[in-house]
Amino acid sequence: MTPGLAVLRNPARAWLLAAWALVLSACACEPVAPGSAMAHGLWLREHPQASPSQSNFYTCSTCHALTAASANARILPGAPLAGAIARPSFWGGQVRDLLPAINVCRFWFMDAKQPWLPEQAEARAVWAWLEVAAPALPEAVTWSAVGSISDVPAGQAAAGAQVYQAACANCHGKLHSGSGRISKQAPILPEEFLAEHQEYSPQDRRLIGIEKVRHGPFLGYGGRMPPFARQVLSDAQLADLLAYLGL
Amino acid sequence: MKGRNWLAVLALAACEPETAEPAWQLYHGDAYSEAPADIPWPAGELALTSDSGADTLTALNPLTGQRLAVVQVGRDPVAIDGPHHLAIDRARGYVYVALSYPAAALTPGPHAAHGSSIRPGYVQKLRLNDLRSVAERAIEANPGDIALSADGSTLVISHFDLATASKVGTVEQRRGRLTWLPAANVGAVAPKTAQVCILPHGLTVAADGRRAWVACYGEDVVAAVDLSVAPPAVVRTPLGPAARSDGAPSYGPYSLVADPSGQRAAVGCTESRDLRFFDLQTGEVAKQRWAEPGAGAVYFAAWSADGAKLWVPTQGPDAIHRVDAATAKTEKTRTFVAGECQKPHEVQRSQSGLLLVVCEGDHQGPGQVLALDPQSLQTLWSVPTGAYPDRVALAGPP
Repeated sequence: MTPGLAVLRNPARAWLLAAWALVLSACACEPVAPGSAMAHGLWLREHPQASPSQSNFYTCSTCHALTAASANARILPGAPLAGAIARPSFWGGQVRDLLPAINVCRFWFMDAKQPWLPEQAEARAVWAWLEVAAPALPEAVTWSAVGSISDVPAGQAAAGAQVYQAACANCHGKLHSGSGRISKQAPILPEEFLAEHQEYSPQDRRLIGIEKVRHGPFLGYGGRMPPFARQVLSDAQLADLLAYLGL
Repeated sequence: MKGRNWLAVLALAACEPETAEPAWQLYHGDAYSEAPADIPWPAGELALTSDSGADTLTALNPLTGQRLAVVQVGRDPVAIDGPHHLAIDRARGYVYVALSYPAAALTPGPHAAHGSSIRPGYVQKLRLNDLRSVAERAIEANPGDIALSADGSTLVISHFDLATASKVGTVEQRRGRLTWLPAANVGAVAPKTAQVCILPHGLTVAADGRRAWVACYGEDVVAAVDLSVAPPAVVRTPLGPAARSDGAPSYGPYSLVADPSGQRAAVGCTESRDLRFFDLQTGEVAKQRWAEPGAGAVYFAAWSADGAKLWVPTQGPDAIHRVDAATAKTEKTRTFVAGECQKPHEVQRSQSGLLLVVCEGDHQGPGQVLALDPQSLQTLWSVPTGAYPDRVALAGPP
């Protein structure tokens, strides 16, 4: 039996989870006992210290909502955290276990050079928090890497504004100014993107935009932006976004 | 944590997020213990293939051909990690796999194609019972072959680095490296490296881990490397009078397989399409060599237990040849017809006497492992693997 299911089938824990859910529903934020391991896990979820790198600006919550419903219409590249401890695999089946999946995020996006080990306090704290933050059966999460890049049909800029707000603004800030962006490392769109790729033709810049959204840092692109799979950002939404960005 | 404690947690709930990192309690409950059941290894030998185009290892019972497991490996969830060759230490319960990150898998868009796609390689140490990684270490790019000393102490990796080999410069500047590290501390100890020759690939290591020998495709030599001294001593022995180091090798030694006694090695050459014999003790190349008119490029051969026979895989045409090691004469050849075994890469001889041949396939779809009768060379069974398998490694009973 997976640990997550074990939690649900333990009557005492199930009762506690129900109580927990009541508290969650009554409080705008999540209650924690100060100094507890669970509080540590929650703290790591919300702080960039999940990586020791001084240049990391991501938290777990940058890319993951607790549940799909709690994403509040944001388009997030990461799967919901609830139920994670009971999932059979991660990253579309490419990673078998939770801790290596967490370490994928820490290495590729958060600039952490060393993986967390199962006995480390931080890793255990994240587990402690996830164990309680899994109030439902694990959600099936499908995720497919987009390998080769191809163009998408022309989109609608007006619809793209909504996509930008839902998927991009949290990290890149406002269009043209970058106001409110998560870090200066997240380029102002589209100006800094265009400046960085001015040696390319307009058509190649468009493909590079698609490549960046679909591949993130993987497949030789570089950087730290997480990739958006088609399961969370459709080609039609991507087309609208490109229209909004003027690519 | 008991129920009452959870209630206390709720009672102590605070709604203001913490900003400074306080002191934390350690979580003492079960965590990350989700490992499923172990792979049902056979009581006797086991076989693993490295499926470099699929990021998997395929586990087999070499006696029956039963496929026991296909397990995802690697550390990049999107790109191909290219698990390229492996070495098993059944006594200690580990398998070591080199991740090669083939450049062809990293350039699918205009930006990535424009930039540098050369990535460091990695070596991962996996638990044999479930093939989960317990340690890893970044190594130089393009790991080629990986070998473990018989005493389990030393892991040696060659780097088949085409970028270095194609540099404009001196022979020394174009030589690739050998990496070695203590197998017990893969994740904790920085590996040692030495520049050995142009395009080092197939290798073997002495039982005590103090010496290694590597076939050098780009320099037409076998390099003997004394790993026990600093700096490591490298002796390069040309495989013949036509040895070249200008980027167009005459022989192209690619594989090197020691006989069971550790006295000599069979060096498979892909350019001269022959098999040469190198004395590991004296460092001499035998005048006698195996060559067959019309034979293809020679890959990793297998020795019989007494060192008297060799089974030699060749590509283009795809075939396997049984060779008398004393006379270097062909005793029998089986040429594979379409679909039987595309691009045979390596032969291993199991303890039960079967020959296991790993066939690369078309590098896109599945490869396969064939079991052949060593005398008739007829197929006894065949099982599919992941894409582009390039090693079948066997380990005896624990």
